[in-house]
Amino acid sequence: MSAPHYVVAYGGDERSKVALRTGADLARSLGAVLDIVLVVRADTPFGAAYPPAPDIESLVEHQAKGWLEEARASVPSGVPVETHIRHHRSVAQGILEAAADLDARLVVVGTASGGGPGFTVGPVATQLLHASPVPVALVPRRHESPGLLERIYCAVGTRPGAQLVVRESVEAARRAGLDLHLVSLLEIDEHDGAQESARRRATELIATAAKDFTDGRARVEIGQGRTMKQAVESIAWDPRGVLLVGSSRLAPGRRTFLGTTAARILRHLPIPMVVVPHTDGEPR
Amino acid sequence: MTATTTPAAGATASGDDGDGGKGLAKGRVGLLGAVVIGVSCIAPAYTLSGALGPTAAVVGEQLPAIFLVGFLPMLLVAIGYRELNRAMPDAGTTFTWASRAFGPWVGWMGSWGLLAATILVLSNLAGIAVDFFYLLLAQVTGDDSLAELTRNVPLNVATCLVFMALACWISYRGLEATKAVQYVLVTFQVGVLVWFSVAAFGHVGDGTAFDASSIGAEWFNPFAVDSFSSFAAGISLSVFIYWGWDVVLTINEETKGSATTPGRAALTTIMVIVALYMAVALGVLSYSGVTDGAHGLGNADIQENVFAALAGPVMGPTAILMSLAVLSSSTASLQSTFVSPARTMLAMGHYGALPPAYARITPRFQSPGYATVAAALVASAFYAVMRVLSEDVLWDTITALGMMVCFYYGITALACVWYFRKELGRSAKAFLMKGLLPGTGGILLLVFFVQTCYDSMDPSYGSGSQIGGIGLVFVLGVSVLLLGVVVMITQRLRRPEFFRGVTLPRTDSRSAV
Repeated sequence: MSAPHYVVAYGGDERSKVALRTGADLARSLGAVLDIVLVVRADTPFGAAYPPAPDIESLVEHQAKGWLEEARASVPSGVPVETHIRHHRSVAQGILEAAADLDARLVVVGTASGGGPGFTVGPVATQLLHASPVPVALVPRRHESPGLLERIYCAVGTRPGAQLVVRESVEAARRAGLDLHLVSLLEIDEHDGAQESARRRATELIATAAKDFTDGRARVEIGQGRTMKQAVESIAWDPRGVLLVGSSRLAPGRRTFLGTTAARILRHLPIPMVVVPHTDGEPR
Repeated sequence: MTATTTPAAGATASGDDGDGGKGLAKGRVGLLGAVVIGVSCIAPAYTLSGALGPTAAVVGEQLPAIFLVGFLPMLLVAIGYRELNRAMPDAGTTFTWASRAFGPWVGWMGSWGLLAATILVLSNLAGIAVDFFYLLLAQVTGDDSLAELTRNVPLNVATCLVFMALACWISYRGLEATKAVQYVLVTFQVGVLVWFSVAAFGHVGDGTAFDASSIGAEWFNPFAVDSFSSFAAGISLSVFIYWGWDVVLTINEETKGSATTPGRAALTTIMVIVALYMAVALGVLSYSGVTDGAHGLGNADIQENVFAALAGPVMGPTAILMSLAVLSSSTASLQSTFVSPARTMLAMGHYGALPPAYARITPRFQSPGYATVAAALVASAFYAVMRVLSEDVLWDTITALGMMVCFYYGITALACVWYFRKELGRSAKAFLMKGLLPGTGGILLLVFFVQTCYDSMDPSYGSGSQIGGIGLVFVLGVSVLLLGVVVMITQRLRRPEFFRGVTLPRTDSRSAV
């Protein structure tokens, strides 16, 4: 079996450099080829300037080649790297087309910095998240890329179907020989009985999932707090880990879709988050 | 990929060799879309509010005639534009074309003319936007004193700087108007202008017009203009009102399927625009006449901004729509106008005609960040100085703008003839489209440029602003061009490669690959 391809959405700016470092770590850890893709944005005719302005695509492309060479040079030796330039009206669509052509298994994208340690999603990442047929890794702006991946966290939700991602995580952890932690994040209000029952239900679900899917080899962690921020912060995230989350039930077909809970987790998470599309169990 | 970009390290795989982006761009824009783009680039509500008064001031009743005739040089130059764009589609327009045809010196100055024109139009757009912003505030609140705030120079300049900064920020981030926004803006603009014209004729019909005049054949006779000076000045101004129309010709690669769409789109656009300009020009003339009475077009006080003065009396309570139309048209254009000087400076920086900082592209937004900010700073400073110096800043900038457009369009059109000179004998069509038509257009525009320059030395020219007994418009035009020469020589001394023809060598249609 040939090595899988991981696409890094690259733009030459700070956030994409962070994404590239994480992408390189992931590729090295999981034996993948790193494809650095830069999309040169084509003018939309409806944005036509007054008075007529020159088309600068060729100049942007010229510059982009320089950025890509810098990017290639920054990847540690030992990771196979390819660089690609694409032209598209939409950066996200250009990335997805490149991912499809390369038969990529993962798209890595940087994110804007939020207020705290976590991150918010920029327009390109948002579009990727709402249309990608392959998993999308979102890298926090200030992520340090501490080296090889050691641990996979898997977020287990309480909604029906939210456990599907566990199967993916188990598969990934097994293949790469990584620790697997099943995580449940709960906002608990001590005085609210309904929340208490949700907590019991989550605990049961996660225990079942751990038993069914992993023969008890996975560790279970329950993060809780009055807010999602506290819930996320109550877990001691290993910086050499990534968190896998499933897509919302709203996801059309086999595509990613960032659910509302996942979006709230994202704002406080200090490690990369991988959003996995709905699948019927294909390995990533 | 173009021959002019230096090949990057070989390992970079170009994912989709020209097929991806440009290919996908095909088949997106239909006839209606192309017309909307064309009309939005001409920005009729803004151009009319800027140029109606100054044009009426020079040609009086022959306003419709000049609007009709003024399109001709625009058409001739646009033909040359299209031919050059086909032959050399990569970044640069006037700068690259004129440099390739005539060498670095002429290319540099032509490009400087374009930059000067865009800086002037930025100042004018922002000025119009400020006027209508306060007028709109006054109409919304019913407090007329608010409209007078625009005459408070410090406040006016401060407001203008805010508008300029916002537009610059949007442009810096590489944001572009979407299809939906353009459709709404264009429909609204055209609708309001038509309504203005209908309302004006309504007043003429029921006898409530200010100085009802009936449409006469003389209005359409360009030879009835009193002198060649007035004629040249009028044409310079009407080149400005059609400025932007050539966009329709260069979106041919984007238009749907057939080869005839761009031609039809250009034709349809110009018919829409000419009909609109005629309707407004005839409406205004019929309503106001050309006397110097309170609402007469000959009244110097209203010439600077005719719509601001006439929308109230003509449209009554719906005058607020005119303010909205002009404000939306000028602010939308203000933002998109930053693209032009920024990209031109980017191309100049890239080929070493300006310092390398201008060639910087902001990675995140893929926009010429440095050049965009530079354009905003220059335009803001220019506006602030003009606002203090000139009694009628909008009027003077529009007149100087007309001159600059004539200058750089003239050079561009002649570059077309020279670049294709070895092909002209091949067929009658090549002779016509690449030689005779653009050549005539180019010569006409340069003649108008020289005539307007000469006339504008008169201190009473245009709005009558002057410095030391010489007309402000002349001082403005000439000092801008001389400044260009100085900057060019400085560049030659500091970065000679471009001027030695190393980065952008002279060529013609035969020797080009």
